[in-house]
Amino acid sequence: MNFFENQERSKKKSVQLIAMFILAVTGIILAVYAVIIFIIYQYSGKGHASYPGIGNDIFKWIDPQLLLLVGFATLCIILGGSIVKIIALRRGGQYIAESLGGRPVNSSTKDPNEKKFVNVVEEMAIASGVPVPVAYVLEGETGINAFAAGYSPNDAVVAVTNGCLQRLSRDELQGVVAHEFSHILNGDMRLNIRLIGLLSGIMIITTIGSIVLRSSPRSRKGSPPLMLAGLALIIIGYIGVFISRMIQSAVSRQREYLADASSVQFTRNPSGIANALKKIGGFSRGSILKTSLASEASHMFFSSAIKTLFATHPPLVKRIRRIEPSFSGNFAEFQKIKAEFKPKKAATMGFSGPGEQIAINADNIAGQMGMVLPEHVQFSTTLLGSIPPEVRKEMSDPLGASAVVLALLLNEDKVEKKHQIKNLEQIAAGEIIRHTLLIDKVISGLDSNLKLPLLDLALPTLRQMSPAQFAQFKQAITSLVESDGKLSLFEFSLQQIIASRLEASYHPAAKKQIYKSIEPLIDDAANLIAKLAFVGHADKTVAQKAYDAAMKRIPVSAAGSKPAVISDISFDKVGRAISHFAASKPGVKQVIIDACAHCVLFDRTVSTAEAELLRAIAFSLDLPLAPFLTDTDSVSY
Amino acid sequence: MTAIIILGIIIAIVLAVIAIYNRLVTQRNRYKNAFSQIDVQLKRRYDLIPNLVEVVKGYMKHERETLEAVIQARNSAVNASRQASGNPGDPGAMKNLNAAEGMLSGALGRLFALSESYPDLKANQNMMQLQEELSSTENRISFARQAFNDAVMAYNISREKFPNTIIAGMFNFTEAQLLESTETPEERKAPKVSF
Repeated sequence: MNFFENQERSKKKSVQLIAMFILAVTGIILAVYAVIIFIIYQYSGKGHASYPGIGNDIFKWIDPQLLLLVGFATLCIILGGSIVKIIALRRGGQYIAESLGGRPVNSSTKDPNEKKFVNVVEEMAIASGVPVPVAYVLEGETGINAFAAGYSPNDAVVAVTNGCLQRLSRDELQGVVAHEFSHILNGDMRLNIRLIGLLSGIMIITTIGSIVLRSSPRSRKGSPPLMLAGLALIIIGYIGVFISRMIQSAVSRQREYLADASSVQFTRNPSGIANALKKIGGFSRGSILKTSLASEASHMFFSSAIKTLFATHPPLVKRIRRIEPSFSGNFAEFQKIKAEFKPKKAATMGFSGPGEQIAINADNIAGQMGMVLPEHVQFSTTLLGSIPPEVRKEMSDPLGASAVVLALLLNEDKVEKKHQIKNLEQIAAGEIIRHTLLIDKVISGLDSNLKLPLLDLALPTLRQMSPAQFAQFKQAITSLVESDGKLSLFEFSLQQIIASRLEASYHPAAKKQIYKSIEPLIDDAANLIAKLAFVGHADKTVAQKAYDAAMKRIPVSAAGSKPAVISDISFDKVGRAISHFAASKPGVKQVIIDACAHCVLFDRTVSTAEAELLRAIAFSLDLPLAPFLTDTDSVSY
Repeated sequence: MTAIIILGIIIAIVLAVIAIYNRLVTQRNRYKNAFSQIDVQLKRRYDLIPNLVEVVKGYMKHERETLEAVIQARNSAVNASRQASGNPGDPGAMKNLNAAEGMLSGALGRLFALSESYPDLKANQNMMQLQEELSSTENRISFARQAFNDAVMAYNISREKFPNTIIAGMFNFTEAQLLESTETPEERKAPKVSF
C-alpha cells in the first residue's frame, strides 16, 4: 500500500465515520424524545390531554411535532458543538497540543532527555521528508504516552509525556516517534481531528445536562421536571459517549496496528517499539493521562490514555505479539527497568530484508513516498551531524533561526552582499542582522546540499515567532531575494517552502481539492517538467529526452498540448503550476510527482538544483519526499 | 414555535460560551509557552554571570562591591524568574521580574563600565567570549520578549472584548502583564560596549 492509497483509505474512513455519527445522533434524538415523553407522562398527572392512556398503545407515543422539536434542538447542539470544535482544531497541531497542556521543547534544551527527543524527531522528519514537526512535552503526565496532531503535515506536532521521556531509552523513543510519524504520513491526523470534533459535539449533551441539573432548584416544591430533564440529559449524554467510544475504537484500532508495523519498518528495530509497549504494560500508571481532555482525544494517543470499556487501542499483549510473536505476556520483568535497557538490533521482522539496496529508481519515488527506510534515518543522522554546532545552537531560538534563513539568502558576491545588507537594515532589527552576518561566516563554506536541510531544521523554531515578527521576517526575505533583481532557483524554492510550511501555521486554511483529474492541468505539468528538464540537464538533447520520457508518464496524451520545447520557463509559470497541483486530489499529485521524478532521474544523477526544485514541489504539494540515496558517496537531499 | 426559537437561542449561547472559553484557554497557554522561550534565555544569562564574575575577579581586586552587587542582583533575578515562570503573566510576579532584571542590567552595566579601565581584562580571551555570549543572549531575550508581549497583547485584547469579557470574568481569566524592556537607553548600550 503506498502513500496515496493510504491517503485515500483515510478519506474513506472519514465517510464511514460520518455514517456512524449520523446513526449515533439519530439514536440520541430518539432517546431524548423518549425521556421527554416519559416526563410529560409522569408529570401531567396522567391526565394530559395529548397522552391519554399512554402505555397501552405504542402508537400514541409518537407525536410528530414534539419529535421535530426535540430532533431539531439535539441536532443543533451536536452539530454546532462539532463545528465549533473542528474549526478550533483546524488551527493546527499546536492548538491541540496546547489545549492538552503541552509545552514546546526548545531545541537548545539542556535536559538530556528532551534533547534526545528533539534529535529523534528531527532525524525521523528528515528521513521521511515531512516538515520537522514541533516537539511538545506534556509535562504533568507521568504515564508513558505520545501523540501526533495537526491538520496537515505542515502544522503537525509530535508530543510525548514526561513519563515517556523519563522511562524510555533512545531506541524505544525512536520506535514511539516512528509510530507517530506513521500517523502523520498515513493521513490519520485529519481523521483524528474530525473524530474529536464529532465526539465533543456528542459530549456537549452531558455537559448541558449537568449544568441544568446543578442550576435547577433543590427545594421539594421546585420543578422536578427540570431536574429530571437534566438527569436524563446526563444519562443520554453518557449513552452518546458510549456510542462515541464504539466509533472511536472502530476507527482507531486497525490504524494502531498499521502504525506499529510502520514503526518497525521505519527503524528496522522491532525491539524499540516492542520494549516501549512492554514498559507501558509493566508500569503501574501505564499510559493513562491526567488531563480531563484525554477522553475525547484518546484515539490520538500512542496507547490508551483513559480506562474505558471500548478500547481505542488493541490490547498491549496483542500489539507486542504482532511485533514479537514469542512474547510471554508477562510484564513483571519490565516493572523496574529504567532507560538503560539496551535493545539488541535483530531483524526478526524486517519488512524489507536487511541486505536490500535502495537504488534510486524513478519508478519507486511515488511508490515509496511516505515510507521511511532505516537507511534514510541513518542518512539524516549523518546529515544532522555535519551541520556545524554553532549553527545548530543558533537555530534553537527564533532569532537565530530567522538569522540562519536570511544568511542562506546572502549572496556570495561581496558587492551584492553589501547591497543586500543595506536593504535589510531598512527592515530588520540590528540584532537580526548581526546574527545573520555571524552565521553567514560559518555557513558560507558549507556544502550547498546542506542548505535545504538547514532551512528544514529552522522551520519548527520559526513557528514560535509572533505573527508580527513573522510578517517582518517575510519582508526581510523578500528584500534579500529582490535586491539583485534576479530570482535564482534556490531563492524560488526557499520562498515556496516558507510559504507552504510556515504560512500554514500562521494562517491555517484547508486546501481545497479543486482538480480531480490532470487533464485541465496538462499545460502546468508541461511547464513544470520542462523547467526540471532544463535545470537538470546541461545538454539540450538530453533535456528534451528527459522531458519526453517524463511526459509519457502522464496518462493523458500530451500530444495535443504544448509543443515540447525545453526552455527556461519563468518562475511565475512554475509557481502557478505548483499552486494548481497543490489544489488537486492525491491521485493527480501522484501522477505529477511520478513524472517529475522520471524527469529528474532520467540521467541517473540528481544535481543540487534539481533536488531543490523537486523538494520545493513536493513540499508545496504536502508530499513527503525522502532524501535521495545513491550507491556512491554523493547523496542528494 | 416559540419553544424552538427559545431553545435555539439558548443553544447558540451555550455554544458561543464554549467557543470563547476554549479560545481564551488557548491564548493563555500560548503566552505561557512564549514565556518559556524567554525563560530559557534568562537562565542562560544567569548561568553566564558567575563565569563572568570569576574571570573579572582576577583583575578587579578593588571592586568587590560592584561584583557583589552583580551576584546579588543575579540571585534575586533568578528567584524572580522562577516565580514568574510558575505563573507567567501574573502582574505581581512580572513586576518583580521587571524590577529584578532592571537591577541586574544596571549592575552589569556598571561592571562593564568599570572594566573599561582594565586593559588586561579587555584583552582576556574568556572575557571577550563571555561578553559576546552575554550580548547575544540579550538579543535573544529581547526577541523572545517581543513574541511574549505580542501573545499577551492578543490575549488581553481578546479577553476585554465583548462578550468575551463576561466569560473571562466568570471563569477567572485575569489580565496578563507585559514584560517591559527593563533597560533604559544607556543601560541597553552598556552590555554591548565593545572594548
